[in-house]
Amino acid sequence: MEVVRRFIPALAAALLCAAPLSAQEATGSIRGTVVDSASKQALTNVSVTVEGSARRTITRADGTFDLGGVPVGLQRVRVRRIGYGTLLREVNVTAGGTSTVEFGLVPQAAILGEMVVTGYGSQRREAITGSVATVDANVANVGVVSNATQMLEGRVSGVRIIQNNGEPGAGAQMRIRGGTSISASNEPLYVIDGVAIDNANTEPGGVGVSGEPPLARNPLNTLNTSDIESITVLKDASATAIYGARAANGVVLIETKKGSGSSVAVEYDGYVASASPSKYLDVLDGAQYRAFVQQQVTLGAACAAAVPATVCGLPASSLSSLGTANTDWERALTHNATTTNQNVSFTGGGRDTRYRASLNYMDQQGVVIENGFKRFQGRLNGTHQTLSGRLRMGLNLTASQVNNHYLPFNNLSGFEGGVFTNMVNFNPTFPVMVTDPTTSQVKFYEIGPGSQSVRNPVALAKQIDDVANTNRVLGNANAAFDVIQHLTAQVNIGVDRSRSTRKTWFPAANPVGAVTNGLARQEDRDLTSQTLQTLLTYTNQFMVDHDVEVVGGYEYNSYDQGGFAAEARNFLTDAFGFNNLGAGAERVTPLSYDENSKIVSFLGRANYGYKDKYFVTGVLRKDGSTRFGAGTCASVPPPTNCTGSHKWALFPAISASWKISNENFMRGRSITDLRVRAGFGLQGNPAVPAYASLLLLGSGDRYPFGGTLITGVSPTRNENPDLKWEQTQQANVAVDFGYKDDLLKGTLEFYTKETKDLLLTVAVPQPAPVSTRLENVGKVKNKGFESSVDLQMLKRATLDWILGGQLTVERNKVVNLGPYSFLTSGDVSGQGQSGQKAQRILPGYPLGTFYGPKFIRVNSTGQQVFSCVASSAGCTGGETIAPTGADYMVIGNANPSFSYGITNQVNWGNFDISALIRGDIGQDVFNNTALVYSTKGNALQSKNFLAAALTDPIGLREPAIYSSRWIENGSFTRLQNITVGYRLPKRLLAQASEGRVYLSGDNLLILTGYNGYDPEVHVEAGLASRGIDYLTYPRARTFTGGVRLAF
Amino acid sequence: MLLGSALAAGCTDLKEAPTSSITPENFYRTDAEVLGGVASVYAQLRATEWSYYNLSEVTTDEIIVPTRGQDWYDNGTWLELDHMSYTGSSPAGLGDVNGAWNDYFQGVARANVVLNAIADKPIANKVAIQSELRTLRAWYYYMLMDFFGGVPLVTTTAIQKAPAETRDSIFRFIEAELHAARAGVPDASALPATSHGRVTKGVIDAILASMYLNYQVFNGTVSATGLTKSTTARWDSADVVSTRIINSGQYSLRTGALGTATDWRSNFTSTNASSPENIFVIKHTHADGDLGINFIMRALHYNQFNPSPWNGFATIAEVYNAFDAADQRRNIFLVGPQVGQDPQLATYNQPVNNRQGSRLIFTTTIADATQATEGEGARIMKWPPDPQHIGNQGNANDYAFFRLGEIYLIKAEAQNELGNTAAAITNWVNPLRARVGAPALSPAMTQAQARAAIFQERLFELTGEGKRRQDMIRAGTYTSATYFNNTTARAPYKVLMPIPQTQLDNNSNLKQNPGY
Repeated sequence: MEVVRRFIPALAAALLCAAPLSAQEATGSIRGTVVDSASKQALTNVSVTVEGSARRTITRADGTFDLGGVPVGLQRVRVRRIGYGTLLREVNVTAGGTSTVEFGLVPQAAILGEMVVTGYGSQRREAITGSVATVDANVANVGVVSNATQMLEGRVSGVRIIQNNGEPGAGAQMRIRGGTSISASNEPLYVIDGVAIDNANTEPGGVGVSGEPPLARNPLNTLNTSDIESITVLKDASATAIYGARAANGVVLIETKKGSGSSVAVEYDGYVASASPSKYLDVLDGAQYRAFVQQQVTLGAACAAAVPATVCGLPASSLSSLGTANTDWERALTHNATTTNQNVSFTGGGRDTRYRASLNYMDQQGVVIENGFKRFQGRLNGTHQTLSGRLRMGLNLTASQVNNHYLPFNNLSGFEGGVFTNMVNFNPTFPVMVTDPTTSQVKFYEIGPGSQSVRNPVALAKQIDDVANTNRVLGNANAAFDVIQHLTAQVNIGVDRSRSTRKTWFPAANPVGAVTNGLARQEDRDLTSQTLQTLLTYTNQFMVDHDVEVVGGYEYNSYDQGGFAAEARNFLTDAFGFNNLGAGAERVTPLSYDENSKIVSFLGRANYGYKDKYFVTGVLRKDGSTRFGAGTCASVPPPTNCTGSHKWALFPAISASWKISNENFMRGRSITDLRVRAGFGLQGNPAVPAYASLLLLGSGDRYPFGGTLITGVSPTRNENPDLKWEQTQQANVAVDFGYKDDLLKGTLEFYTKETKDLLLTVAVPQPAPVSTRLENVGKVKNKGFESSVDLQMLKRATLDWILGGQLTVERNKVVNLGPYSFLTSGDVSGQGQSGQKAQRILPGYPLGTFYGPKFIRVNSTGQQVFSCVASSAGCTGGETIAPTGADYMVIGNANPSFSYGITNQVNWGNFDISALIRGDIGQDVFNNTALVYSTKGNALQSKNFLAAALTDPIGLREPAIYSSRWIENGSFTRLQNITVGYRLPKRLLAQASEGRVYLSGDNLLILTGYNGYDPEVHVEAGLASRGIDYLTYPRARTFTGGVRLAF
Repeated sequence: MLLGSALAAGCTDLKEAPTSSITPENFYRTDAEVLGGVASVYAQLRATEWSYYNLSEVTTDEIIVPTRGQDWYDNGTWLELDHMSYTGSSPAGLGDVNGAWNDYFQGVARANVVLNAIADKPIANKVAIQSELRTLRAWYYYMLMDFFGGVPLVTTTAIQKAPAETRDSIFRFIEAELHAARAGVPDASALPATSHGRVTKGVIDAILASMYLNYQVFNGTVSATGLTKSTTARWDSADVVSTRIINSGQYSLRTGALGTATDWRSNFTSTNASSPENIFVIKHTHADGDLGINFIMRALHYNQFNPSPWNGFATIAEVYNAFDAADQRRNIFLVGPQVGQDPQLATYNQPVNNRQGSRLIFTTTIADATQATEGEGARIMKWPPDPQHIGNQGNANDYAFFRLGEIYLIKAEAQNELGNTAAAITNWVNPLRARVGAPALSPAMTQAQARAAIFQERLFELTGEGKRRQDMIRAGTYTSATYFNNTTARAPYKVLMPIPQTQLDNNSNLKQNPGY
């Protein structure tokens, strides 16, 4: 107590006396501007520090800054900003005078500079105690990039992104420090300009052609990547805890570009790209297929005497039923696709009012015919300050329309399937088009009239119409008011609203539509989320050495989701398409829904820094969500003996860092930057559906009493009043280092992450109206190592080369599953694969563990032989041809041993060259495509197969059996992008102030032993399934040419 | 900022108020709402057409699902059922067996939800509705008892880890429930046309007759060495209940000449709702693409119907050949050169080809069940396609759990066991044979011969109707009979299905059945 009693008066004295004290010394001011040395554009948010003093500030939107109270004399001023190299300059400050200075910062890759957005504020990088990585949009926005997720690929350690497939605007699996959730979401929280967005799929899911429709496209497609200024990834608990309940999977903060405030500047950038498939699967061509059938017919005839012809070779009729064409269905379905992207922006304003406006048009075609997406977007940003800068207001408004044109392919399941299944299946001796002998009309060739389970894939692509137009408006308005000195109050109101209409048409002319004689469907989805934040921020510096910042606030988020769908079948004509549902003779019962949920939060954070050497951050957030259980009561009513509500939870975090390089004993050493950090915190995962804890009745299960349909009403969800948050606790230790300033710098981090009370949809004891419910069951543990390094390879007057690298090592383990001995997952797709599962979630093993029979060899009669346990039926000498459940074992792991990325940034005179190489090493991929299509048996049904099957010893009638044979090493190294840019010299620029042209190549080369399209793939095949590849959209190789001009 | 503070105060209420879903508290208040609840309990009966049907048929000689090249391997599930090699965690154990467990218990749970919700609400016909729901719940328990033996007995709505009761106490619960409910439900003739398909006194009696028929099984004990039948039989009860149905005047056999609208086959056509022979049915309709019967899809070849069927389920030669050539009931099998079966297609009754381009021929034999061809195996087409079908499941043929033909055979079996062998054959077996052109059996046979003859008659009359597993267990041949793909006996404890591992995991009070 004695200490406190002495301290408080001292503190009060310091507070009161701080200003007079500094006034007694002789000081001057520094005023200046910071610009991009290349573009000469003003740079905002640049940190300006006077070395050896506590004087610092950040530049305004027009790049200017004022620093008062600077001690007189020669001062070293340090200027740093994300994405640029630090600049140090000596400035002579005179008493009462103002020195003017201009800084030109040079753009730089990978490890980034100073002010970092950290959520509910920004911080100097060196004061950050948590694990935060930043990507500069200028560096990452190369080639064809349709959304923010793609900009992070290979550029941030600890972040693994798997694009679902090569579809334009495809969704992606983003995992920050590995996925720890089994059935709740593993997606991070996205925050755009301070407003957390609901990253739900904006488009309705679609109908699907004999199976599940393809996975949803990326919801972030609605945000133009050219408007993005920076992306910050918060990885560890101490950094993310400020987002509490929603932060368990990490947080991605996206900051958009703001107005510069100088005279009006106009900028144009645009590109044209051409894409082609990066690989073909190689199925038999017509001649190969014909030769194979001939060979099998000969074989069948030869052995008919010895054994029944039915079990040997093919009957002679197989030959006569072949067509005469020679169609390469892969090439018939793919083409050189064009993408164009145009951006125009202008920015301007004055000292108090600044604005930036931009327009974007993007049109991306897929490498497969008849699909792609278009984006039209307008964005407006404005800031205004008044009352001598005490009141600052801002507005961000984005309006976009995305037109999706879908290809009818499947996520998985079904052997009839869509375009890609039939691309492999459809007999290559048949033509794409045929002339009807009676009507002389040219039409698509089908193997028979009406409904068919094998369909002309080109006809599927061209005849089926499936589009979704999405409008999204994302806006936020904010105001900050300096109530008194050091105390700022802020309000931020955000609205995110999207509306999408999906229209689908299966014409009767196509075998898919023939089943119902035409099918038309329209479905709407509406998403609205609203955010309100109120914050109070107190910032001060006591007695020179003590930096304090305290933030406290309240936040309210509401999420509304609604939809409507109607469908009609049996059309007289194909002429209406999806535009006249009333013309269908059969109308399917329409459907509509509406659901709402809220999250309410109170948050607080305190940062304390001492002498710029020791930093401590504490965070406390209390979140309440409507979606969790209200608790149970022993007797209802009255509510007595209640267990209490599970809707509220507390998320704390604490972290600290020590900047060793600021200690006196480190002065003058080659190690110019050295810092250790450690943190610990708790976060939540609320990604469960609205009303997840309630018993709900739903309609839909109908029954025809006496032929009259009665709509049955029954429970559609079991109640679980004890449903609560999934909680992740994370500990993080890190070292940041710099050697000889920027020659070598980097970060090493270790973490452990433990998620308990997993939100898991599990089977419930019967009887229960629904066989499963969400429960909090089990525990998953992740631990990992991450490293990022930047190396200045060359630094000459006209040649500058920075090499960056990042390495991610992550280990995941299911610790327990509560009462469950295992959970099955990873549906195997294809004919004859019903009920087959590829993966098990097993305690002691990572998520994504492949589980099945172990393949040994193919025996002399063409049957597959597997290893078995002696006790199982049919097991002789440890071998069997009919493996049973007891013979199954762990046969693979879909997680890489490590992932890495290498970036190169070279500036040579007017040229700039960047390259990104990245890879995953050591993971297994289940090649489901090969399982089903690299055995010859398809010929029994006159279906085609992969050329690899010709040399495969498996017999014609041996079924496809899932086993370790189809688990392949999926290690790869990919040359993701090379970009060569040229800064146009003044003499070539007429009116323009600046110009750059560039050529870029995406996905140029992949080194892998994997046999399928691409080892980087994701199909949604059940709980936490990973690494399964089944006939999905091929990836593109893309060449881009672009230009950027500023006026 | 003032706005912010104002909003903040009212924004910590986290109570949920669903808008497009409903909760039991605010439902089941009007007759129509209650009927919606009742309909959902009936709707769950459709699920039995997959799990109960397949497990009752594919584990026996009546139906086999051979692997046909790439098709129908399905993780070995189908041949696992054929060989009875399933366990609680094998593909079939985690698949169809687990599906069966869930399907019937969901039926129980749906009935419990409505029964509990209406218990203290003043609704019209309350006793009738309660009796109807208790009957349906008893029927779901009957199927559980038949497959799994003793199971948890729960009549409340809370999800709980209830321990399993004995098979006998489940039997007695079902029996008591049915007796209690009988007074509350109408005779079939008293049902208005718009209620066709709902529970009647006949439904209750048919379930009871079936229970008494199998009493020695249900009251017996199962150990790792198999079933020991109870020494107590209830043939008298089976006789009384089946007589009550036959004498009720509510049902009659269809005996019209083949090809007429009242022939034996009319019990199975898309207009069979009007058949006076059907007692307890699952109602189907072609008014919607998903609410019909889909058995033909499992059996027909890809090229015989629109949409393309699945070409899976077949019958083995021994079963097909057991039928007398004169017996019209053999015509439910498709064998030999095939024609299109879809009345809506131009290929209807026209020759169709297989996928290799030659005429599709269904052979009676299957050379190798692991490597069968498209055309091998006779196909059951007992429920012919609905000319107005929509999609694959839009066939309106009702599926009968019980029809009068079977009640005759239950009566016959009871009579024979009670010593009236000649009457059993003459009065209750031969009438079924006469209407389908099968020669009459001589009543001059021993009780044992008659037992075998009635068992065989059940095969002819009820092929494909989901009775075979129960019949073979009662006859003692379920695990011991050898045929086609099963050249050796199966483990005798397979007379009970394994409790699926998933269910053992989530209810620690359950114990695995003996032997597994």
